[in-house]
Amino acid sequence: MNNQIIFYAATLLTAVLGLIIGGVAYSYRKLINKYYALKEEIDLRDKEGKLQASKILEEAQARANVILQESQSFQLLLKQNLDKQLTTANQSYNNSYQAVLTTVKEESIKNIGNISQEIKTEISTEIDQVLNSLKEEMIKSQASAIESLKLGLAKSEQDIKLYKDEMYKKIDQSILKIIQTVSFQVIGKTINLEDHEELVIKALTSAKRQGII
Amino acid sequence: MLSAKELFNNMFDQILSKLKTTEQADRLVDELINLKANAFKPSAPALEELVLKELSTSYGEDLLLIIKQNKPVDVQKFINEFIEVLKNLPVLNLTIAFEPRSKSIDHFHAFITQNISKNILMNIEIDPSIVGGAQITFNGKYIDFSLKKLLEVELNTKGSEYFKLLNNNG
Repeated sequence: MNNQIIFYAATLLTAVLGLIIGGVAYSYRKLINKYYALKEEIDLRDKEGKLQASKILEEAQARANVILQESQSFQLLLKQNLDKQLTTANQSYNNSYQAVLTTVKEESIKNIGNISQEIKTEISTEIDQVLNSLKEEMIKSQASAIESLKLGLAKSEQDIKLYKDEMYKKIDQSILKIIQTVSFQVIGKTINLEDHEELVIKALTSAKRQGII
Repeated sequence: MLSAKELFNNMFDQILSKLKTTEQADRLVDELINLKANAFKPSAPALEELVLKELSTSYGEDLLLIIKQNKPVDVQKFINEFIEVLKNLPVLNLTIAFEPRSKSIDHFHAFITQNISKNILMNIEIDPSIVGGAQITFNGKYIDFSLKKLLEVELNTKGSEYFKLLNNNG
């Protein structure tokens, strides 16, 4: 009995399982079909989109070219205008510059002329002043030089006098020295033995008197 | 009261009174040293003979007399002491301008003995440049009584006057 139950259960189960599997397979198939359908749609849409995009692109390009052309011509025009303007401005500027330059030149010449005149006057005044002060300095220097010479002369005379006095003194001393030497020699030779002895005794006597001996 | 040294010195008065110059004293010292060297050798002759041989006559006789009178126990020591006495005699340095004769030396020595003291030796030096007079040194004191000094002083103080005189007369 159990085995039968089990058998029937198993068979039931198997059947159920089979049904389930069948159901799943059917769903799967359906799904696959849907998938492919969708895919086709997508491809179609994609194609359409691409077509449209390329159309748009073409249109845009055409328009861009138009714009570009327009802008190039504009640019050219602009450039031409600019050149023209620049030329005009340049010319005008040059003219003004020349005018100003001329004016400045004339003014400068005039001023320089004035300046050189002023400078001339100034310089000559300065020169006169310098000359006058030089003259004064020269006169002062002359007077100072004369004074210095006089002082120098006086000092030289004084120095000469001192030198002369010193030399005379030296000569006197030399002469005295000579007199001394000659006197010593003469006296030495004229003293006899007795006189020498007497002189020695006198020396001893004087030494005793003075407490030396 | 005389000291032992003075008594000892007095013994030699006979000899010392004859010594006038350091030269004479030095010569006597040398003679005594020779006497000492020869007198006490083993084969030495008699002292009397040796004394008269080594010393000059008057000194030799005087020394013998002194030895006989005093009879020293130790003759060698006696002679040594005498040498010491001679070496320690006071000296008067005398610089003079001439070569003195013996009479001059006697004259100077007599003055010194009479006026200062006995037994002073003279150390005589000769220097003609002092012209005359003497330069004296004794007991560490010095004095110049030369003619040279006198003339120098005179010329320095009155030289200009002499010069003027010369100029006036010349």
